Amino acid sequence: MLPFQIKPDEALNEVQQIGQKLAQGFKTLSEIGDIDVGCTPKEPVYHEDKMTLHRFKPLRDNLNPVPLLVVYALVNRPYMADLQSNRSMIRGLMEGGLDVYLIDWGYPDGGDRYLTLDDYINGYIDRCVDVIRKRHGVDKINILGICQGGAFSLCYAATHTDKVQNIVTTVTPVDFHTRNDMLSHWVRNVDIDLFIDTMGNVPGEVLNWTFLSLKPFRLSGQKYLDMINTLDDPIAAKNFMRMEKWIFDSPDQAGEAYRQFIKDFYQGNKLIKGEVVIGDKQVKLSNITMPVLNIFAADDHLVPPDSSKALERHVGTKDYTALEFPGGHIGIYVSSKAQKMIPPAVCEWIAKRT
Amino acid sequence: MKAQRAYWDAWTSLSRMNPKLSSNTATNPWSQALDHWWKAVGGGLSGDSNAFFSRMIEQGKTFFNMGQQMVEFLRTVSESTYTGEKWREALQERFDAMKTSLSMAHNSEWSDRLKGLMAFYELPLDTWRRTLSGATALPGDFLQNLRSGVWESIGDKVHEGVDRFLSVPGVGYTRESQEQMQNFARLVLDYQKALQDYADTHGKLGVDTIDRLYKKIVALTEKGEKITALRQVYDLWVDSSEEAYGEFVMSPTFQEIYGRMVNALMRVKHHAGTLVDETLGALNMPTRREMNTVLKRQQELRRELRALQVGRNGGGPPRPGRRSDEESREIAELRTEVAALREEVTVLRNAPAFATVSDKPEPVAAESEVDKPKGQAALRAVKRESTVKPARAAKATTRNPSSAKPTRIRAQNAAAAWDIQNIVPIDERSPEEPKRRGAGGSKR
Repeated sequence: MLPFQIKPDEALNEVQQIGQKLAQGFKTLSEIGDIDVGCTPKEPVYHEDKMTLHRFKPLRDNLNPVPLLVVYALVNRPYMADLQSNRSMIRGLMEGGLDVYLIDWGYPDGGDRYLTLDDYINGYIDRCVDVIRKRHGVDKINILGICQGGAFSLCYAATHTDKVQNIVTTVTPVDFHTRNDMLSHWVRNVDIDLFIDTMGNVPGEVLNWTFLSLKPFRLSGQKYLDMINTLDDPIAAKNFMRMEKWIFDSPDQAGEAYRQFIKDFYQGNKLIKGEVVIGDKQVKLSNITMPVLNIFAADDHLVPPDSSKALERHVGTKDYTALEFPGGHIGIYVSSKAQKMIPPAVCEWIAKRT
Repeated sequence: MKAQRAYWDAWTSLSRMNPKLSSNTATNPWSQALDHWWKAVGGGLSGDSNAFFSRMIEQGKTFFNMGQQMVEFLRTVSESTYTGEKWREALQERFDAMKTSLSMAHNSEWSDRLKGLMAFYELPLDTWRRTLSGATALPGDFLQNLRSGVWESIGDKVHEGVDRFLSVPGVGYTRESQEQMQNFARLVLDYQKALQDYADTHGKLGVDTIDRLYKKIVALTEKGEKITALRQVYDLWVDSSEEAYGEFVMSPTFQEIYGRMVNALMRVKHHAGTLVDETLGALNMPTRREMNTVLKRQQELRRELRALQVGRNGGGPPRPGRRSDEESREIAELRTEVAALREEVTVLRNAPAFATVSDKPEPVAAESEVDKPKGQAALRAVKRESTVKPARAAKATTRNPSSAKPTRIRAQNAAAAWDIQNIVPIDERSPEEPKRRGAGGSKR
């Protein structure tokens, strides 16, 4: 029996509704005003070159005495973790009693093209850690890494074991040669040396469109049709526009840091082999002996779960915890489900180890 | 049966009501209406909102185009195919026609007919064009008008011919620049070929998608589910497209083609940069290459400076541009020491006792002419002169008695031999004996 049971009047009605919603949406968008992001108040406590270390102003008393440093990726902007008041992982961590700091890498320009991973990890991150340690009078702090920031955090923890008490990684790639890692497959045959020697810094637009190319029909097509249905709600429209702003707000990547990251991590898969050298320090994940909480997303198309789960086999700690979030790479930070699951889990885990 | 008849009567009525939908029109009236509306009002939104809304308009049009295909199919499916399993043949036939259309994309009639659908399959290619626009000065669609079909038939011959032409060696005074331009043109040609190969591989995506869509519809039927809205068909279509795309881009073929295309583009851009630098250099302006050299050295210097700061700070973090506490303390102590030494040197210069040779100490009255504690320091120095022989002066006299210098000069040398090290500030001397600050006795 023919499966199509689409009545002609209903088909016409569907088409007309889209037209009507577009017209209404036009009105909504013309009145939407500025798109504000990064809702939780914070203050800069250390600044160097384009990088700023922020401390979020505490929301409660009786904070965990060991502060938490959030290390974001170089790609995209960190306000995704603090997008709006009801979708803020940062806020959730603070409400759970953590004293939260965040590194904002800023927007690199041509003058930053020779910044290396050594400058970022043994330089900026290390100095931020020292600033926090001094402010709080502690020897060690907690670190939470997001995506590429998680990879950086692992490198840092492996080479500065005396400064890290606990480490949390979220949607962090560890094994870059898993079967379903699309990005890794794409760059295999790309001459990265030629790319960086030619481009210098990698334009943010290139990364934008690369990420959209992972699922072009959904991310460049279907998503906008979905949006039409929510345009009559100004609040939903504004929430959507915040995400849209973040998706297309990509800083340029410092050339040398990008070169090493792609060559050593994506192409060479050296992190799990213990062959990554940052500055004069060889990174061996087995040196990570402090407690590790590894959070990954089951439906992550950017960092496949297998890529994150590989961490368990390589760290030296005996206190390893894995947490799977039933969602995607971005949903783990912005979905309402994530707000109920991730920050409480992180806070509870850290509290037990303080 | 009655319900079925009513269903098909409704579609027949629809055809009569809207004759445009019944013909094989190349244009979709819904999309046209949307286009007209957007052109009229589009200027009313700001930059970001405008771009965002444009994407929604595009997807709306895609949805309408897909809807049109669906409606045409449902209209033409006869009553006999509604029952039993004959609908599968009808659907397969329809899909085969669409696959043929997609593979004949260079044919203007078919490409116009499926223009809306094809735009959807050009999404990945459109994405690369936008990437290209972001990565180079070239517009991303500068090779867009080269239709695939034309290139397939003559592309290799054209490529070969032009390449042969570009390989003709240059002669004369401008040989070098001519050769560079030829290289550049050859690299552009290579990129064009690589881009075309990339576009061609995407052309097969549409065909694979339709096959998958058919299988999904059949699977729904076998589960007893029905499709009751156009949006359902659209979502199935998107799922099929993503599956086909996902499998395709993970293949070694795609990886090779993608890598070749990116590398070819970078070679074009790299060579273009070389040409630009040569021109800038001829105009006596800074070049990219020079800037890179400066930036690289600057970053290396910053690293060295930090390493020095860390080393001086005992391994602790340096504070760029500011002294550490320890450094400040040390500098303060040094300043105090230097001030004291200056005072003592001044005293020595002014003390008349050192101007003549005499075993007798000068009268103590000289002390009153000098401010304390300088005067006290001078007194101690004088007293010491009578009790302790300056080793150097003694050595000098015994070493070469026959060529002894005049007494006055000897005395001056003796005074010089009484170097400052032998003068100890009052407050640091124990009451029992004067301490001597020799070469190894410094506080430093």
